Order: sequence, then structure tokens, then C-alpha cells
Amino acid sequence: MRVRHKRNKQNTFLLSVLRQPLRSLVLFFLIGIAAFAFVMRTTEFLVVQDRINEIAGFYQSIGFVQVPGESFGNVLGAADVISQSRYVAFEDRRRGAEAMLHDTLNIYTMGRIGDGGHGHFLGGQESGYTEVPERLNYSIFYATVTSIVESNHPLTGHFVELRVTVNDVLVGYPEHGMVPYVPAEEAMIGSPLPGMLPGIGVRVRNHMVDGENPLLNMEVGGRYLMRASRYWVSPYGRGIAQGPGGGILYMRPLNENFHYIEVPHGNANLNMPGLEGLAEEIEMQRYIHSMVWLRTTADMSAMPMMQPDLRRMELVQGRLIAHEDYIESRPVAVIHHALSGRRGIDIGDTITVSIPREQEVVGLHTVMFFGPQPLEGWQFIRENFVFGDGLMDFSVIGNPNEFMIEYMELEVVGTFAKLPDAPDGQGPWSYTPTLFSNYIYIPNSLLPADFIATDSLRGYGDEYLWSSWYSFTLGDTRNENAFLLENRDLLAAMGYNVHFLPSGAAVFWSVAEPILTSLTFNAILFSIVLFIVFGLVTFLYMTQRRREFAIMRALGSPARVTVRKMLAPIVLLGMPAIIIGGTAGWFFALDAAAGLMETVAYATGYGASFEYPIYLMLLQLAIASVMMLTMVYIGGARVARLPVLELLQGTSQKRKRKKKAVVEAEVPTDFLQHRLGELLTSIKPIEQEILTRRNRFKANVTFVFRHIVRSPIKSALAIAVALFFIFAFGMLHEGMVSTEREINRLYETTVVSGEFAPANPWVLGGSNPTILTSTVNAALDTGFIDSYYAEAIFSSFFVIQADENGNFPSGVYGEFWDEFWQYIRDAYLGSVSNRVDPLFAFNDFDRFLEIFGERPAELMPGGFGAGDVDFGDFSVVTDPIDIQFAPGFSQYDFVYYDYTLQAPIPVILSDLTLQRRGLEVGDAAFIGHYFPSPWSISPVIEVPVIIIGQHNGAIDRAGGRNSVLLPFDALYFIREGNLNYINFQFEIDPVFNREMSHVRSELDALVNMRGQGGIMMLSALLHDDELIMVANQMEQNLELLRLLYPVTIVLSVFIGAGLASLLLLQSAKVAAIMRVLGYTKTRLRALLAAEHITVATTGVIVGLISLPIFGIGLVIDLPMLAGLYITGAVIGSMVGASMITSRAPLELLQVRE
Amino acid sequence: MLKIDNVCYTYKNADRQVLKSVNADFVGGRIHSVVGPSGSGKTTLLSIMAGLDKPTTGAVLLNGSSLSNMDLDQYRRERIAIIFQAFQLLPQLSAIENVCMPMHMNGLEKRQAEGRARWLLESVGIDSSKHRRYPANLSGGEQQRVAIARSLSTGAKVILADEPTGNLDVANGDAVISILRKLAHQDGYCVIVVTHNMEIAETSDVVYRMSDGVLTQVG
Repeated sequence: MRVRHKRNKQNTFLLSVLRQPLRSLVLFFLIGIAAFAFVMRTTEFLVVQDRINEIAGFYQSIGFVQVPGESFGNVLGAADVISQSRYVAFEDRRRGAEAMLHDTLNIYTMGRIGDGGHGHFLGGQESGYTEVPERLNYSIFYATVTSIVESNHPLTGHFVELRVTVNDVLVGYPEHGMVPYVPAEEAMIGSPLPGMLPGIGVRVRNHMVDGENPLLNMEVGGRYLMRASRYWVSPYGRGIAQGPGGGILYMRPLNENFHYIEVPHGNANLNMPGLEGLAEEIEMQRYIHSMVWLRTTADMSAMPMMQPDLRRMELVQGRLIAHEDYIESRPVAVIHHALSGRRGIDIGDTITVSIPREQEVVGLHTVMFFGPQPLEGWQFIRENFVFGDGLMDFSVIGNPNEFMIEYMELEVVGTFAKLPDAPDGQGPWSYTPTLFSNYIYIPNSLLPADFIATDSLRGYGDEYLWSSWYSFTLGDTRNENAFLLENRDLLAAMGYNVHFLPSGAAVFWSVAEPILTSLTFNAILFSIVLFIVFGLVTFLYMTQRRREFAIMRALGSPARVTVRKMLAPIVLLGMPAIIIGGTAGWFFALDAAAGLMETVAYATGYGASFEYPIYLMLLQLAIASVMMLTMVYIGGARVARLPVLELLQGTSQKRKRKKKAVVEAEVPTDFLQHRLGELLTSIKPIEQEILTRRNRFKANVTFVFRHIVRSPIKSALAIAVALFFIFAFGMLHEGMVSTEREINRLYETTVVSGEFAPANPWVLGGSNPTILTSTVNAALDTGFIDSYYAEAIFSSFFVIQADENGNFPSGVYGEFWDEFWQYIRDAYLGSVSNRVDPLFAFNDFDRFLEIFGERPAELMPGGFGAGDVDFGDFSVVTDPIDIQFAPGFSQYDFVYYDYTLQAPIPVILSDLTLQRRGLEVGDAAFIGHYFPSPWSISPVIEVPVIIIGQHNGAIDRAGGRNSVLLPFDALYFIREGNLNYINFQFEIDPVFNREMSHVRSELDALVNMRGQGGIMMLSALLHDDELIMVANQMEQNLELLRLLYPVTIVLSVFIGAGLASLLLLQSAKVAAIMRVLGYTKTRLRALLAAEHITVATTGVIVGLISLPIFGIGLVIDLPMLAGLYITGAVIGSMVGASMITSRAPLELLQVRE
Repeated sequence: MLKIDNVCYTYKNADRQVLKSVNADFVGGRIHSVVGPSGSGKTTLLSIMAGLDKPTTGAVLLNGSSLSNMDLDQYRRERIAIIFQAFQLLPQLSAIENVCMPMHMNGLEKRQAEGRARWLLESVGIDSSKHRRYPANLSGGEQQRVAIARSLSTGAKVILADEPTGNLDVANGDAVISILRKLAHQDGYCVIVVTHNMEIAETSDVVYRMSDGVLTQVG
């Protein structure tokens, strides 16, 4: 009967491994360390590469197209070409759509729209208000008058101020009920109001109209239907952001027939004669109060407006619309931070908007495309564009479904701000009176594809793509030149210029690429090292176990089963070692990176994250495991091919294959008798020989050499490990050194420019900043500033023609009196005036020309084109200054050294000023100043000037157009140092580049200190993005490398030591023979250690010699590192040698019965 | 020549006495056999005689001098030679290199050592064509003869042989024993053979039996 034996599950190899704990521990340790090193280095590579990519993502090659000579050209043809380029990652053909916000109001609560000038609101005419009753964003309400006060102001004249209590609101913003007439607590300032709240007192003001003020006909206690709107600048205050005192509602006529109507009780009959159209206007207002302007994008971060250089918009909270949002048509939105704050819409909230199919006539378009309308114009619109046609029927405003084609529920993922922007939430008047507050950015893919591309009102539709609505982004910032090479000439032939926004990417990549290359090589090298270590470990394990393998095979165990059983222990030993070592390496590297990066101040739009998906770690562990298993498999397959008996006899198949087969020699029968006599007589005691220490040394060297040469695989692997470690160190070191060099170069050569700018420029309402001389002087005293460019403007001057004798004409100020008063009035009313001859001084002509002269196409913060058309993003055309010098003069004559102000000051007058003052280039003249203000009398100044040239007036500064150009020093002495700068740009001495945060805080403290006492708060803007984003960030990467570098060194020492001891353990039998033959333990240890040290040293030396071949300099660190590795090998060898020499030799040598 | 004087041996951390008052006098010009069952203490005795271990009590005397007063490494290097059943040649060294190795250890100049090694190898029947062969490429008998040549290379007069014919066929075994016998009888070597092989024991001049740590001369 055949007996079926139970399968033998016992694994002899496993038992052997367990019963050799020390050796197994060394194996485990070695594999674990190798896995640790591998995962640590590859994770470091991952982190740094990720960071570099992240930083690289901050730099985008954003291109735009310009139609030469046009601010906003049609670039559709260019876009079609660009879209075909393989270098283009995506295009952004932005679109806009008016939409209605459900369940909440927008925050554009001001009396008019837009970011442009506001002069036409009052228009310089007291009666102007009556002509624009349809001004946007007003409230219509019933109110009871509680007081009527007449008053006067020296500048604006007579006005009437009502105080009313709001009874009922037909349409209005909550903010309109918050005008601070009543005490704050009563007005519920800051409370969310559902609409203009009845019961709240407001202050309503009106001016004289044609010599009388209609408000005087109202009666205290009377109830009226009235219309009022807010205006963002009070004629009597600096601006609403400066405090509640500036806020006021302005009374507007109900229409061309009625300023107001008295309604003692109930509601007015809006159908009564003379009120036609008012009901429609109310409905329209309701729509306007809910209106928002959807703007689409393919990637908000790649919008030119979002780029720091343009300083147009920035992310405030959350995130921007990402390209993935566009690709996946995610219903997400980014709204203005002021809308978010004022209407309580938080990140993660959902807003609902609906979009009319035809975007016509009403809403923002009304003003945007038709401008402020006089009555006739408004009437024209009413008559020619029937409300409801194509847009909505106001009678069904309660059911938007009937006229809206798209509903969108959008998740708010971020908030943005326009730069410069007013801070919100600092009081009831502090919200941003900008069209941007109504902008809601959504992915372009959310809008139907056939929706108007740009501006249907102008009839262009899909055939037109404004240059300001188009940009494109390359897949790689390094491809800018390739793209231009591919497309520039073609586009130029088509009539387009293509440009890229300056990105600084070239500088970034010059630093990033060496470090990336180094890291890549390093990761590869460490992978190779790991592979070799695994190979060596496998080799050693197989050597240990192959005798058992042979025995098992001899006992009848099938080859495959035996191999499997033999491999099981190494797998069981290696896998936990890989998992433990690799996991530790992963977390160690990430912790080190995170710990290091915590100290980094990130630039806007960039934040490092060290949360990597765990699968990446698992992937690395899998790679290490596969490497080990591969080596184990190869080793197993190799052993399985060896003949069993030869394995048992301890012979090497490889050598035997090359040599002759062993033929048992015939046993001699007679040689003993024949030879023995000679033998006996010839052998002399060894003491009689000439023994020398030198011979012994030579013999030892020979022995070591032979052992190395005759164990080629073992020696080659050990050499390879040492060699690759040196290579890895060399590459890493070289990468660090070159990166450090590059970073140093950046620090030493990068010129950080800066400027003093208003902390809250919006407060200025378009004016120039005011920077005190003392502030500038204090800044210069810091020693940070290497060079600077300054501009100053002083307005109340006149250019006065000299009399026939070349002297200052007498009695001339009377002629300027009226003009001057008008100038003062205009200035207070916020209008632009050309009535005086402002002086514009600057200290560097070349820089002046860079700023105002011909310059490369660049994106200018755009906005509104002719007719208030919203071109939205930017313009690309500049209006350069053009200067013509008088014969014999040049810019080098534009200097002034005479501090007595007796010599004529060289000035350049605008064409307009020359014409107005009857002057010509080359004339001698005077500039005079007389300031007859009601509050102070300034000294009369009469300074001679020589007109050395004329310009076209294109000074892009508030109040600077057509100004008189003169050297800075001249104005400085004219004003006796009492000068307010409007522009102070400077360059920081590169010596301070490494202390930029200190420089920033010092300058900030300085300008803030100077900002007290009625002068606006300033900020010291430092344009140090390049330093922050390149040098600083790369320095942090370098720090990470430096942090992990010594760890790698320590690990390599451990690996070197572990390998050495493990290799020596293989020589136990040889050691036993040597001991028996009389080697002392010490000598034997030295001999055995010398073998492995020689091998390691050989690898190290070959590595060191080879490094220069690969362009790696042999710096002092490398031999030191090599020494460390060898030290590890020495320690390991000594440990291994001690272990094997301490065993009883006979135990190893005897054949056990 | 080699005298064992009341040697006792107990392993560290063990109670069992492996050698119990062992006395023996191994003299030159004779072959001595030590026979006995496995575990009787033969290997321990061999280890002590080879200077690889020290007796717990008692002494081993070479020509009247106690090993305890000698440098044991030097003793092994110069005064004794050991032949193993499994030959124990260094696998990375050729036959001649194996023979040269002890001489090199003693600082003998390379050329002299090689000359002597060649002569020794030929003396034990390894012709010059096989001098450069590695042990793996030699037969068992050849390997053992190389091992004998190696043991003779230092001029030591005491040869310890641990089952020297255990891995050999009869002819080769006989040849090896013949060499040992000649070395003893003609040149006065003191040959001590530890063996199970009773044939060898029977041809020995003196036979000791080791049993449970006790050595008894039986012939």
C-alpha cells in the first residue's frame, strides 16, 4: 500500500537562519539600512522635485497678443494660430456675462459705476445732478422729513440738508439705510439689513438748482417719495474710507418732471401722469442691485491680471479657479472679497446666478456701453430698446426662469481682491466702490459654448476676440524661445505681435535645473547602490545556505521546492527590513523637509505641502522589494543549477567549468622510497631560514591580493558599492556646491528694486501718493538703498512769460487769481484740471524715459476703453512721452546746480503749456507761485527758467499731464526741502539681499512711522520675488539636501560596516585554517580586515579618480567622506574578523561524525 | 616529544568533564593512534595538543617544555602540523600557494618558499603540472597530499592527523599512511593520528583508546 506522506512544511533554511541570529541580524540590518537610504533619498528627490515643480508652477509663461497700435485689438486670427502650437498648454479665451445673483444683492452701492474718473459726475456744474437722474444704484423710498437745514460752504456754495426717517423702501441697498445721520447704534451699523430699512434716519442733501433749491419746498413732517443715491467722495471729505463723516445720500430727482412727490399716506400711483417709466426703472434697479458680472477663465492663476507684476488682482482666501475646474466644468466660483464679507458669503457657500440669453441694454451695460446719459439719451434708450426684448420682462421679475437661460449653483472656493484695493469691514463706508466687487469668476466651460465671446452689443460676437480677453499659457516655461521661433514671424506677417509676461522663469530654471539633475542622478545612483547591496546580501545568503540546499537536494527534495524554501527566509527577513527601513526613511525625509520648510516665508501664491499620498511610499517599498526579490530569484536560480555533489564537496562550479576536469591521479607506489631519503635530509627546521618581517609582509599582501582577485564576484560587488557611494556623494556634493554657487551668484547680483506706495491707494481716489521728504531721507539714511529715482509734483505754479526786459512781470498774479480759484475748486470736487502749470520734478532722466518713454509692449492695468467699454483685464499699448529739445540742448542740460535759485532752471514744457502761455522753446521765463488760500499765505516765489525743450504731455501721473518738467534738485530748493514725493523708487544694495526681511521690516517701520499725522499710510514695496521665489526657496531646498546629506553619509558608513562584517563572516573557515596554521588572532584579524578594506578602498579610489571624468570636482569633502566610508569598512571588518576568529577553529574544520 | 601530563578539561559553563586526567607520552619516530567513539574527547585532546585550547588542569609538554609557557601561535606555526580529514586547503590558493602559505607566515622569502614547496609537492606525488591547480581541481587524494606537504613545509616534527584517510579511497589512504609512517620511522617525526579506522590503529606503533574522557594505552 502506498503511503501518502504528509507534505513536509518544515523549512530547514528558516531554522538555520533563526539559529544564526547574529548573522541574520546583520542581514536584516543591512537590508533595512539600504531600504532606509533608498527611500530617504528618493523621497528627498520627490520632495525637492515637487517643490521645484510647485515653484515652477508659480512661474508661468503667459503670452498675450498685441495688434500694433491698438489698445484692444481683435486677436482672433492669432489665437487660432497659437492654439495649434504644441508648446501651448491651454488658451484662455475669457468671456463675460451679466447675470443675476439670487437671494442677495451685490455691493455696488455707489452712485455710479466704474473705476475710471468721476469728474463727469458733478461735471464741474452745480446743476449737473439734475441731468443724470438715472444714475445707477439709487434707492427709491418713502420718507418723512424731520428737519430741513440750509447751509453754505466756501467751495460748493449753498446746499440744503434733509434729515428724514425712511418709511418704506421700493428699492434700495441696506447700506443706504446706514448713512450715519443717526447714532451708530440706532442706525445698526454693520447689521445685515434685508434692504433699505424703514425707520432708519438718513441725511439727504441737495444743492441749488438755477438759483433755488427744490428741497426748500418740502415741509418738516411731510412724507415724500424720493430717490437718492450715494456718491463715494464727499466734496467735503477725503473719501468715505476715512470715516463715517463723509457719507451722505444725494437727493436725485424722481424723473425729469418731479424732484419728489408728496405722498402723505400709502403708496404713490406710479402710473400717474408724469411718472411714466418709473415703475420700470424700479424694476430695473432691483435687477441692477442683484446684478453680477460673470467672468470666465480657463485658469485664474494664469490670467495676466493675477500676475504679481501687473498688481491687478490677488487671491485673498481659498483658492483660484484652477485649470482642472475648467477641464471638468466644476461649478465653482471665486468672488470679490468685499462681496464675500459684506453679504456674508463664505468659502464653501453656494450662490445661485441666472444668466439671460441676450445681454442687452440694461444692467451694467447701460452705463458701460452708453455712458452716463443725459435725459435725452436715457429717453433714447427707453424708446429704442424695449425692456423685456431679449432680456427680461420686468413684470415677471419674480420668476427669473422665464427669461434666464442658465442657472448655476456655484460653490464659492475663493475670494479675490483688486489691487490696489480698500480694506473692507472698517466701517460702513469702507466697501470697495469698484466694478470688480461684482465680478464672479467661473470656469469658462460652465458658460454655453455659443455664448457671446466678448461684446455682442458692438456686434462683433464670435468673430471678435479682444486682445485683453485673451492669453495663453505654455506647458513649460523653458519653451518660450521655441514658441517664439515657431510662431513669431508667422503672427507678425498676420499683423500681430506676441509677447510673454516677464516671469523670471529663466533665472529660476538656471538654479533649479542643476539641482534637479543632481537629484535625479543621485536617486539613480542610490537605486544602483541599493541594487548592489541587495545583490551582495543575496550572494552572501546563498553562499551560507547552499550547502544546506545541496543536502536537501541530496535527500530528495525537488529543486523548485528547495529553492523556494531557501528563498523564503531571505524574503521573510528582507521584507520586514525593507518595510521598516523604508517607512522610517520616508517619514524621516518628510519630517526633515517639513521641519525645515516651516521656517520659510512663502511668496504669495505658493505654499509648500509635505503631505504625500501613502501610495508613493508603498511604491518605493515595492520597488525595493522587487529589486530584492529579483536578486534573490537570480541567486536561487543560479544555485539551483549547481551540481548537488559538487556543492556538498564545496567545489566551485564556475572555476571547474574553466579548468580541466579533475582526474584522480594514479597513486604512486614507489615515490615514497625513492624520494623520502631526500625529503628527510633536505627539510631543515624553519628557524634556520632567513626570516624577515618584510617577507612576511609581502606574503600577507600577496595573500590578500589573491583572495580579492580569486573572489571576483564578491570583490566586484564590494568595490561597486564603494564606488557608487563615492559617485553618489560626488554627484550630490557637486549638485549642492553648484546650486550654492548659483544661489550665491543670485544673492550677489540680483538687484531688488522697491518703492514707497500707499498702503491703501484706493483712498487716494486716483491721486498720487504723498511721501514726505523726511521719510525719503530716513530711508536713504538706512544705508540699504544703492540708488534711487524720485519724482515730486507741485501743482499751484504758473509759468509766466518774462517781460520785455526779461524780468518778472509786475501785477501778474491778479490774472491768475480766477484761474487759481477754479483750480482749487476742481481739485476739491475731484475733477481733473489743467488750469495751473504743475511742476513735475525727477532726478534721473534715463529712468524717466524708461517709465514714460517708448517701452516694450507691456500689460497696463486696463479696465475701460473709449465709451467706458469694459475691456476688463488690461491694455497693451503705451502712450509714450515725446520730448523735443531746443537746438543746442539735450537731456544732459537737464541738471541744476545753482542752489541760490538765481540761475535759470532748465525746464521742459508741454506743447499745451507753451501754447497757452505764449512761449516757445528756448525762451526765458519764470515759474511763479502764489497761494492765496483762505487759511494761509505762502511766500511768493519767482524763479527764472529756461525752456530747453517741449513734450507731448504724456506724464501718466495724477495731475502730471502737461506738467512742467524740471530737475528734482531745482524743485527741492524752490520748496526749501518742503517737498512731497509722488514716486520714490529705489534699488537695494545687493549686500543686503540676504537680509531682505530685515530690510523690509525696517523700511516698513520707517514709512509707517512717517505715515502718522494725516499723511497716508505707506508701504515699502520690495520687488524681491526673484529672491524669494528662486534664491530663497532654492536655498531651502539646498538646506534640505544638506540636512539629509550627513544622514546619507552615516547610512553609507553603516552599510559599509555591515557589508564588511557580513563578507568577513563568509571567511570563517579560511580564518580557522589560518589559525590552525599558526596565525595569531591579531594578525589574522588584520589580514582579513585588510582584504575588505582594500576592496572598499579600491572602490573609493576608483570612484574618486573617476569623478573628474564626469565633471565633478574633487573637493576636500569627498576624500573625507571616502575616509568615513572606509572607516565604516574598517569597523565592520574588525567586528567581522573578531567574530570569526573568536570561534574554535577545529569546530569549523572538523568533519562531524 | 609531546607529553600529556594529567590533563583535565571541562568546558566553560558546563559541568561535564570532557578529559579526565589524561596522560600520554607521544615520542618521535613512532606513529600513535588515538581511537575511540564519537564524543569520547578525541577532538578536545587534539585541540589541546594543537595549542588551540588550554587544559583546565594538567599540562602539555613539548620536549619537556610546557605549552603554557609558549606562544601557542608560534607553537602551531613552527612545532606542529595538523592534517584534517577534509584537507582544509584554502580554496582561493593553488596547491603550491597552499604549501607556501605557512612558510610565508614565517617570513620565508618567496622564492625559497616556492622552491621548497615544489620539492615537497613532488615528494608527495603531486607533479609540477598540478602545482598551480586550485584545490577544487584536485582529487581528494591529491588534496590530502598537498595538505601533508603543507604540514611538512615548516619543518615541524609533530604531526597531528585528524582522520587523514577519512575522505580517501583505499589506495590513496594507504599512500597517505605510508607517508606518515615513513615520516615517523625514518625521520623521527612524532605522528599522532586520531582515527576511527582500526586498520590504521593496527599499523600504528602505539595505540591509545579514548573512552569517556579517559585515555588508555591499549597497544
